[in-house]
Amino acid sequence: MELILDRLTKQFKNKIAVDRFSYTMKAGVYGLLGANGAGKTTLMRMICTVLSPTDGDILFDGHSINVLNERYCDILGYLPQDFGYYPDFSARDFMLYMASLKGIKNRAAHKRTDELLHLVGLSDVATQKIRSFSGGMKQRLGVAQAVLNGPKILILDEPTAGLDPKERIRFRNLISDLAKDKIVLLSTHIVSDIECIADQIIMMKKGKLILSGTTADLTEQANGLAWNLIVNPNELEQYEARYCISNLHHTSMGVELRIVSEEKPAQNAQPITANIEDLFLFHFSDELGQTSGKTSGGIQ
Amino acid sequence: MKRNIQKKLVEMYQSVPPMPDAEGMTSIIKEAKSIKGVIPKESSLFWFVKTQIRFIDIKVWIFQILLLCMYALFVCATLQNTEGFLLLVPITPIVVLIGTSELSRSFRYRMAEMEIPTHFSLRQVLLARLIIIVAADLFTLTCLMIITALKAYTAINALILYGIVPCLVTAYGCLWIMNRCNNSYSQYYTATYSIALSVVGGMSVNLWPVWYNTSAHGIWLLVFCLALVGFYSEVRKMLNNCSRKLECFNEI
Repeated sequence: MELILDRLTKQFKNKIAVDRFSYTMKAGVYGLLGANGAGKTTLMRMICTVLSPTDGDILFDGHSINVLNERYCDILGYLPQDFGYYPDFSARDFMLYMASLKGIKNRAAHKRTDELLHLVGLSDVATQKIRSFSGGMKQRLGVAQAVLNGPKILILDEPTAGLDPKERIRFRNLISDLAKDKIVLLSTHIVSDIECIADQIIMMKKGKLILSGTTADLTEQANGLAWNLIVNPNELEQYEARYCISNLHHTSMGVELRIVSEEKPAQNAQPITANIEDLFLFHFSDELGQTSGKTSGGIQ
Repeated sequence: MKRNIQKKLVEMYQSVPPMPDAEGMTSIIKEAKSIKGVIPKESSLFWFVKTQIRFIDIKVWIFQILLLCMYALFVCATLQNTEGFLLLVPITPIVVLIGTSELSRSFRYRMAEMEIPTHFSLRQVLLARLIIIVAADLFTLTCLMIITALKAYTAINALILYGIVPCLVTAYGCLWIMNRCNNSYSQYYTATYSIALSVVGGMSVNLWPVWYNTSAHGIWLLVFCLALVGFYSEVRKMLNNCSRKLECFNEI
């Protein structure tokens, strides 16, 4: 099972949202990381045939998805970033509706609906209207509909956005359970959501693939980028203007800073073990609204 | 005898069953699991249209039935004979309006993105809804015409024209609006258009009775043909827009 993204490009008028993106995926969990506007949603929409690429192709097991058509949709499950629902539908109605769209016969649809609502913990509220659901419940319902047809490819666009920590952990565990023998592509800008469950992490910036690898590979790449430094409170502003600060903690000895920088920020700075979040900040701090005028850390 | 026993013993020792094939066992188990996990599917459009009836908003059916009952009550209890057709012309745009909200549901409630990448894509969802709504509207229209025929001393062909033509003109206009305005305001525009047509239809019976002379039936037929062609082209445009996916929709 192999999904190949071959020089995918998507242009909207004067903006190139995805720029010659090439990647090959086999069974496993892939975390797609990038700041807002990096092109993650556009990429996922192209994979799910919701948008047509301006250029490039997507191949599944060697066949273009444009040729496969419904056969590709039959093995695809998709959870959009921001999905709506028909207000008169209950959770069960919604699942049965999506099952009908996926061509699942009635008896199997009822059985599968019961199984999946139980799996995502919504059995007790199956007959309640979706408009009465919390954000976490809606997301769980969204995941349930995405796996209705037993897909081989599961695309989840920012599934944990807006969820509280308990819901996010529950969600991560659910995805881990569902990910066996599938290609799961999960996009987020919350590093911790995918650090634990992704086999491969793909970093995207301004529509391009900038980095990919396992958590261990990327952590190794991040080595030498993280520093620990204690400064006086009156020096804080100066450091904030010059460097990318991933963590700030006021202590009795001063202000403890975790700085992401290629170069040593000060003589008394201590190198510390970097993580994926440091690498993310190194590449994306300019897009995440860190102040301008900094000299290192991947920012101008 | 000894040779026979010896021969039999040799045959027995030589006919030892083969060693179990562990890989073969694994592949059989895997195949069995995949067969068990297969979800039975259906791919015919007829089956799909049948299943979609259940998901049409119940308000559509309730309003259609209410409209029929109120029309029957008003026509039979209130109107004098020969006047039955007076209400038919203004009421048919309202019949069409009730069903048009179903066609724009996917965009109004932001479900289109989830409906596109499925076996029966958005195009087929809209086609199924269109088939169901058109069938329901035709049934309601037929009932209205039958009720009208009880009161109106009007030729049946004239009744059919007075029922079908406003219906088609409304449907064409509503589709024209929805194809150019795929957002949550489209239902307000279609409602305004349908109600305006209904008012014009109601007024025309009193202000322009010449429209309802037999001599004007040729014009009604012409309008019928033009509206039918327009309706067909707008349906095709709507379905083609779905094939070109989300780029066509203002909402996204």
